[in-house]
Formats: sequence, structure tokens, C-alpha cells
Amino acid sequence: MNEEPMSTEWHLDAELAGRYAQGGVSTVLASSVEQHLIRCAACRALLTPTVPAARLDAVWAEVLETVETPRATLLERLLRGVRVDEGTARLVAATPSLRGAWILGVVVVLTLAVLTAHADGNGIALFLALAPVLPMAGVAFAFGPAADPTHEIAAAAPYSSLHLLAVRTVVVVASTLVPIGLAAPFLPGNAWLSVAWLLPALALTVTMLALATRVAPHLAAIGLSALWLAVVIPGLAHSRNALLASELPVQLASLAALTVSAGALLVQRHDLPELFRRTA
Amino acid sequence: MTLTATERPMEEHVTDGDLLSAVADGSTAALESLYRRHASWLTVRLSRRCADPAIVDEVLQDTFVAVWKSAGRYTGQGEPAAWIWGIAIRRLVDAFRRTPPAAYPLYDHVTDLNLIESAEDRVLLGVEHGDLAGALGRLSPELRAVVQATVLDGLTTREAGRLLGVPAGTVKTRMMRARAALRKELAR
Repeated sequence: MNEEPMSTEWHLDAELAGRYAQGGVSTVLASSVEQHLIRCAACRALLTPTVPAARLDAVWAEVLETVETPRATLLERLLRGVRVDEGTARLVAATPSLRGAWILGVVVVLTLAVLTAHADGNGIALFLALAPVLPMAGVAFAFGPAADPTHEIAAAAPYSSLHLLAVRTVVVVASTLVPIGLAAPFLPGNAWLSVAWLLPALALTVTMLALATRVAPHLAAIGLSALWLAVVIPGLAHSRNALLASELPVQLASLAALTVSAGALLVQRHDLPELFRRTA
Repeated sequence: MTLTATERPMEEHVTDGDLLSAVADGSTAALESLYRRHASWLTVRLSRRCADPAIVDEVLQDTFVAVWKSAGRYTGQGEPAAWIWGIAIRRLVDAFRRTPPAAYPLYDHVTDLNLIESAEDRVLLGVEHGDLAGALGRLSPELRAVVQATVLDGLTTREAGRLLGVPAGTVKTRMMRARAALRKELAR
């Protein structure tokens, strides 16, 4: 459509440009002006002085900021969609454990556990041993300079540490519990297994957080994982009871640990900034 | 996106089409040149369709963000200015969908009734004879707005309805009435 304008001799002058910009010309003339402007850069330039440069600069600054800001991740946009404020959404979305690799790892491990469970009774033991550890590991790796590129930002962010801790923990635990919860019904046997791992999982996570006010989160997570496996695996070998994690003593011990740790966490909440300053 | 502070807006002789190609390749300098060339007239043209400067600025911003994202889809056919306007007018429709126009004096900034007729006026509606300017001028503001939104801005019935804050069906009936009125006027 590069043909010549329909009336080559017809152009705006400064006076008409000014009146058009002020809204001072009739609809019909304005339409002529607008059709002409589409094809005539010289007449478009006549309108430049009619809009304050400061106004255009302000809009340009916004455009530049938008195009230079990395696109929000899907998670961040989802969180924004449910009215989580922008800063929190970004910090949550930047949580390392939420990266695809972690979720993928969780899914692979659980799939293997479920498949093994069908092949061999000990697979259930593998599932019940791993399921409670995964959310804790996820939360542990959601913090700390080793794992988190936004560590500095998080440490300096104008959020209470407890707020950030709570938000991230909930999101990480939820993102891990969902795949585990989806895997659980595929286990052979007792339906109770579907939820048996929940209480130990929460107990381990909260205990790890309580410990994290004293030691680096990932060290706390490794220690607790070792402890958990040390309790569960020999128990399995000894009694050949694949449902050990669902037994009453384990559940009660989990409940006790959950209560004590949650209490400790509340008492120590003013020390929580330490969580962000630990060196790995 | 890494950008050096020394990147400057492009030279005068570079065409808008070249700029759009550069924008498609990720040049913010080219986007800025394009913005400097087109922001003023777009602001004026949008302001004739929306009396709220805040919405106009928001639409202008959305437009250039959309240009940034979709510059690769510009085919090289047609005027870049027309392509950008096509984005802008649809962004305005979107803005009105978010914030329905309450009392915008849409398409109705007419303060000067000394209508001037140009050759282009006639061509616009494919009318060769008759007092088109006068006929359009005598349409009621509602009918004139519909003619402008559909014929001149090239919006669909539904888009025009959103822009004008009326149902699409109303746009259709008003367009029919406008056509009938113009035909009658021009036949005299």
C-alpha cells in the first residue's frame, strides 16, 4: 500500500495541526486529517509540538521499564491473579525449590517409589520413607545464600522474616504435597497410607525451620533426614512392616515434634532474620 | 536484555519498517525512535476518542509494549503508522472494556461547524457527489460516532460497541440508520 496519497497536494499546516490537536475541527475534517497522517510523516511531525514532551517522556519511561523487565513467570502471574502483592509474588516465584527441576525431581522420585511399591512390598516403605522428607528438603533449599540468588534481596526486603518464611514455606510445602498427594492413591493396599506421611512431613518441616534459627537450613535438613531414615529403615528391616510410618508411635512422635517445634519457632521468631544470613 | 547506555535513537533516514525489523530483533533504541516519531500523533488521535488523558497515556504505553512484543508480526505490507494505529485503537477498546466509558465525549469534539470539504472526505465513504461533509455533519452525534468507529477506524461492530459503550446490535442499527440518512441526504 505504498501508492501516493490520494490528494498529493493536500497537507496540514501548523494552524490546522494545532486546531486538530485541540479537538477544534469537525469530525469530517478530522477524519481527513487522520487518513492523511497515516501516510505523511511530515504532517505527523507537525503534531509533535502539540503534546508536552514531559508527558511523552513519562510514558516512554514506563514502556522502557516494562520491556526491560523480565517476563513474570507463570507462578508469579498466578499469584498476582489471586491478589498476592507484587513483591511477595516475585519473592515466592524466585524461591529456588519452586524451579521446575525440583518439582521434576519430586515427581520422578515419587513415580519410582509408586512403581517399586507395585513390584515389591518394600516399595511402600520407600515411599513412606521419602514422602515426609521431600517437603522439608524443599523448604530448606528455599532459603540461604547457597540456594537462593535473591538471598540478598530477601534479607533486605521490607517484609518481616516471619511473613516471608510463612509465605515461602506454605508455597513450597504445598507444591511438594500436591505431587505426593497425587502419588499416594496409586499405592497398593491400605488407604490410610495416603495420609500417613502428612504428619511426619509437617513435623520434619517445622522442626527443620526451628533448627534453622541455629544452624544453616540445609544442614538441619540433612540432619533430620538422616534421623528420620535411621528411625524408619531399621524399623522396617526389623519388623518387615512396610506400614511403619503409619503406626501410632511414629504419628504421635511426629505430632509431639510438630508441636514443640512450632512453639520454638514462635518463641524464636525475632531471631528469624538469622535464617537469611547464614552462610552455607 | 543487556543494553549499553550509549545506544541512541536511530537516524532520520531509517524507515519505520526498518525500525520495526530492529525492534523485532530486540533493539530498544529502535523502539525509542519509533516512539519518538509516532507517540505525538497517536496521543492526539487517541485523545479525540477518549477524553481521559490518564487512559490515553496508558493506551499509548500498552501500544508500544505490544509493538515491542509483536514487531515480528509486521509483514512489511502497508504503512507502519497504520499498523501501529491498529494496535492503539484496539488497546483503547480493551481499556474501555476494563473501565467502561462513563461520559467520554467520544468522537464528539466538534466545536467548529464550518465544515471543510476535501477530496479525501469524499473518497472515504466512496461518495463522489453531494455534500458529504454537510451530510455527515448533520448526522446525530451517536450515528456519526458509529460511522467514524467502523468506517474510518476500521473497527468491527463488536469493537466499535465496546469503544462507544453500546451493545454491538446497537452499533449495527445505528450504522444502518446512518447509511440510510447519508443516502437520502446525498440523493437530494
